[in-house]
Amino acid sequence: MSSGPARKRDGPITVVPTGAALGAEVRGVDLSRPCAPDELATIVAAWHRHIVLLFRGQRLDDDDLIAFGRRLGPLHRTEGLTYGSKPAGTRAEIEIVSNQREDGVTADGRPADECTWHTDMSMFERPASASILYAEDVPSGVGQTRFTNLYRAYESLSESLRRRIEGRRSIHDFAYTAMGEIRAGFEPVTDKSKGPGADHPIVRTHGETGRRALFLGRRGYGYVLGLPVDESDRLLDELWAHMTRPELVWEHDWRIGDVVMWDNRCCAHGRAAFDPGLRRRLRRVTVMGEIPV
Amino acid sequence: MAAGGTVTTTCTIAPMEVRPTGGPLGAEIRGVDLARALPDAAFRGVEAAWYEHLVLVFRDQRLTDDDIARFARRFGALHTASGAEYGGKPPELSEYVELISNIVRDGRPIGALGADEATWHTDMSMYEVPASATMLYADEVPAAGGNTRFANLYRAFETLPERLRAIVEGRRSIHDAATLATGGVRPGHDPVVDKSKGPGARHPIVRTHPATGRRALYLGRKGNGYILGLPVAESDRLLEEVWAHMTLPEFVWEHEWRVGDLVMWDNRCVAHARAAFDPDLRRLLRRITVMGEVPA
Repeated sequence: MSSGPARKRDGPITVVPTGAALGAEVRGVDLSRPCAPDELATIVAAWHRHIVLLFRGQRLDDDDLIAFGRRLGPLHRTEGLTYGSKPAGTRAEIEIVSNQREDGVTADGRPADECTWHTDMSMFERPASASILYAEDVPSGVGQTRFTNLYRAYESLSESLRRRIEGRRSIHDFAYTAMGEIRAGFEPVTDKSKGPGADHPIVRTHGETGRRALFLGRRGYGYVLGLPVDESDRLLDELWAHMTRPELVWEHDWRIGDVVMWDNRCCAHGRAAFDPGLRRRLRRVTVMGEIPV
Repeated sequence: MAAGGTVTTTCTIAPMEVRPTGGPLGAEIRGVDLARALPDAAFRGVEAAWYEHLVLVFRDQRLTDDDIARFARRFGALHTASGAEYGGKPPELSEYVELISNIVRDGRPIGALGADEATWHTDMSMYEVPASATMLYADEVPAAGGNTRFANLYRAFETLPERLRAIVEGRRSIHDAATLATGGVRPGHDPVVDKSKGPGARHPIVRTHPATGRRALYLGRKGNGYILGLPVAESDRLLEEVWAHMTLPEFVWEHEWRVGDLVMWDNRCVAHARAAFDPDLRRLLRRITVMGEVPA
């Protein structure tokens, strides 16, 4: 029996790096309560440094998730982006990442398939800065999310690749999801050079840290403006191969109650396929970042 | 006796009164003595008035450093003030208090800005976590001159021509850390040769006020700064246009100081400036700034 003072729910914030190319766990924060400005500043500073932050043991409702996201900027509204529907009454800012019918997954949807490397919302003029993903109900040991550090990918580019992309922009395809499915309302893309989606610089300067990073939409899609399509495909393949080298990647194994917040301006992410019989449901908000420059 | 007569009441505590300036922003608060701890209900009234009017004036206050700090802390954590920009502040001041003054003692300025013009700016915006409130208290002011002008940046955003709005929305700018509001170079910094690589935080040009949910233009200092991603000359041109819009007379109200005034403003939706004044006249104000949040 301790006679000492009662243990506080939250100690000081500590940041524990993963030791890999990116990622850190943040301890001592309860995201269901509005964090104080100095706590938020600490979190943002850690995020700028580590690109991906993990908060374990959280219990959040949609309002909490939205309130936290709004502290970082305006949120994207995500009606119909992934499955074409979400359960009635779900707030516009909430995206449900799920393989469950009740969440609006269609009968022919394959939400447990591999989710190829991509960055969030990059088909828009103002792509996401932060994605904040909350694991409401996930199996552990499968469905891990991989992240890759695109600052380092840029810094370690070969001189010849760097020259080939200098000053170039690419189309971030809008028609396909990261699962390779065609989005509701879109036609299959026959000519990538005329496909839908915003075009952004391939090398972008992060709006807050000022560091340069590679920036592409989805592996297997996209188009480098001004090149013949087959040459663009070859160049993008080479870039993605470089960007996803193991030494740039860290993988997160989910637990229920995890919140993971990553910076789409300097990392890409992907997920392996998992057993569709397992129930997996996460909820996400994305923050509108700056126009990539 | 009836016409113009006063009503006598037995009430010993005057109720708080909010009197808008009639300008685009600003209100005077009456019936509050900031030398005493503010009851919660009164604080909530002040806070609501501040969100509505952006700049509040409390007249005839007699305040110690601790009084100002106690009031300021109701709004958040305080910035520490070093006085580094004018060679270090007098040691007797509390750590949060900055002096704004043209007074020279033993050959050294005791405060910032001197008697020069201070161009339009927002406080502490070169930091990642800029100021929300600034509290400025007048110990000594000249009979004329040294007025502070304030601009309502909600209205400036709401009326921004569509062409400019399309350019600034979704963009960030560098809030130059190397240049002072009076135009000099901040000690410890080199003059900026390439604005696109200058020091200072990079904030969104349109920010959402976390309490009111309203959107406002947000720039550092007129004449400085850089819109990320644009050629420097184009950024300069655009910033000049945006500043010209932000400081149109219909968004601006000017405060004429009296000794004992405490003026507080919200840097998240207000810019401010001061004209030069007669350097032979003494002007001394004490300032405390409250840390806001990462602009979003």
